[in-house]
Formats: sequence, structure tokens, C-alpha cells
Amino acid sequence: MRMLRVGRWITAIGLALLAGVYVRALAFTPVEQSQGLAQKIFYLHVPAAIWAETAMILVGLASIVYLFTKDPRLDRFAASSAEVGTVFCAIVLTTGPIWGKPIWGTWWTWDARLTFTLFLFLLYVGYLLLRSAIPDPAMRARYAAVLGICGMCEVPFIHLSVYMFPTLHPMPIVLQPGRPKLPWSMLSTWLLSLGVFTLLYVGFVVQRYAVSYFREQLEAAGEVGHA
Amino acid sequence: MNSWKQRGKSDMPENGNYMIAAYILVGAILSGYALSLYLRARRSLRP
Repeated sequence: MRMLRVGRWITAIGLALLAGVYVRALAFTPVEQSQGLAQKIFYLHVPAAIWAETAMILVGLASIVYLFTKDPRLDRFAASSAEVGTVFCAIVLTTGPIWGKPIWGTWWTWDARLTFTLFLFLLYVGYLLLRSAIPDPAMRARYAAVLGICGMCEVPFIHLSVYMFPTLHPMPIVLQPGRPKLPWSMLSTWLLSLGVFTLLYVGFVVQRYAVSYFREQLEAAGEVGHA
Repeated sequence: MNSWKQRGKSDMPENGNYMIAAYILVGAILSGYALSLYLRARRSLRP
């Protein structure tokens, strides 16, 4: 119960700070030279992408350790991280086309970065469907762990796809060797947004973990079917 | 694209509606998910 309350507080603070990011990005951050106002989607799109990928890496790591230890807390964490990662990946896949249309002239193109990101989303959805399809908790955790590890292996391809394939998607602006290629006034807003998305990831995962725990207690008591 | 610079408002491309749509969408997705977690927790805790 305490964990749920902590998660709710972190989420509430994260959502309040998100409003602060909106104000800072829209009113106090300069407009970029060639893209105009659409470039400000960057302050939401990139932090969401970083956490969509990091969430899957954490799912994979927790899954590897789970297969050795069989600790149900790791399985619960992996399931929570996967659900939150799905939400962040949905943000990436919706804000990306909204940004792409005015800049590239198209909502979607099947280039490597976009296709790998769509594949990550489908892996997330597959992971959640797999979990909901298997009633036995031990088997569910084991199968999901294998899929989680596969998902983790896909993440480096997303990051490196812009170097490996010809693509419309731009090269990394911040996460690249050397100094970030944008002015401090923009970088500071982006860092604030990244901090807020980190807070939201933590708040969501803590709450989702607590919900999973309560559901497992009810499952064990035979009061509900599996989550 | 890789070296972003500031610009004056006079020669700005008119694509602010895309930005507004993205910001509303992100707010709706995150708030909606937070609400869904709140409701699921409440349902799980109901005796």
C-alpha cells in the first residue's frame, strides 16, 4: 500500500512538472531556424523514445536474472516496465509522424529507424498479449522472460539504424559522440523533459508493480483470473 | 537539422498546429495511463 502511495506521488509530481516542461518549451525556448514550431515536438518525442528503449532493456535484464533466480519480483518488474514502455513507445510512434509530416512531407516512411521502432512496439504488444494468454504463473513468467530478452536484443538496432542504413530520420543530436549539437537554451529544456519522463517512468512502474502485487494476492486467493 | 539555430519570427514556417496536436496527444496519453493505473489499483483493493 505504501508503494502504491509513493508511486502515485511520483506520478503526480511528474505530471505537474510535465506542465512546466510545456510552458518552458512553448514560451521560453527559442524556435529552431529551419523547422519552425514543429521542432518543439523534439522535447517530447526524444525523451519518450529514450525511455521506450530503456524500458525494454530493463525488461530484458530483469528477465535474464529471473531465469536464473526465479524471483517473482523480477517478473513483476519486467511486466510493469513492459507496460510503461508500451505507453512511451506509443508516444514515439504518434509524435514522430506528427513531426515528420511538416518536415519530411509524409506521415510515415518504411525506413530503418521507423520500422525498427514499430517492431519494438509490436514486441511490447506481443509481450503483454503473451502474458495475458498463459494462466500458469511460472510458465507465463518463463515464456515472457524469453520474449523480453529478444526485445532487449532489438534495441541496439534502433539506435544504430541511422548509421547502418540510409534513412530519412536525422542522426542523433544529443546522444552521439562529442558535445550535443544544439544551443544550451534548447538543451536545458530537453534535459528538463528527460528528467520529467524519467520521473514518470519510475512513478508508473512503481504503481503498476503494486497493482500486479495486489492482483497476484487475489489470484492466489482464487478471487480473480490472471492479469 | 544537426545544428539547430534560433530564428526570428518573421520567416518562421507555419506549422504550429502540428506542435499543438503533438503536445495535446502526449498530455492525453500520459494522463490517461495515470488514470488507468489509479482505477486498476482501486479495483484491486476493493474488498
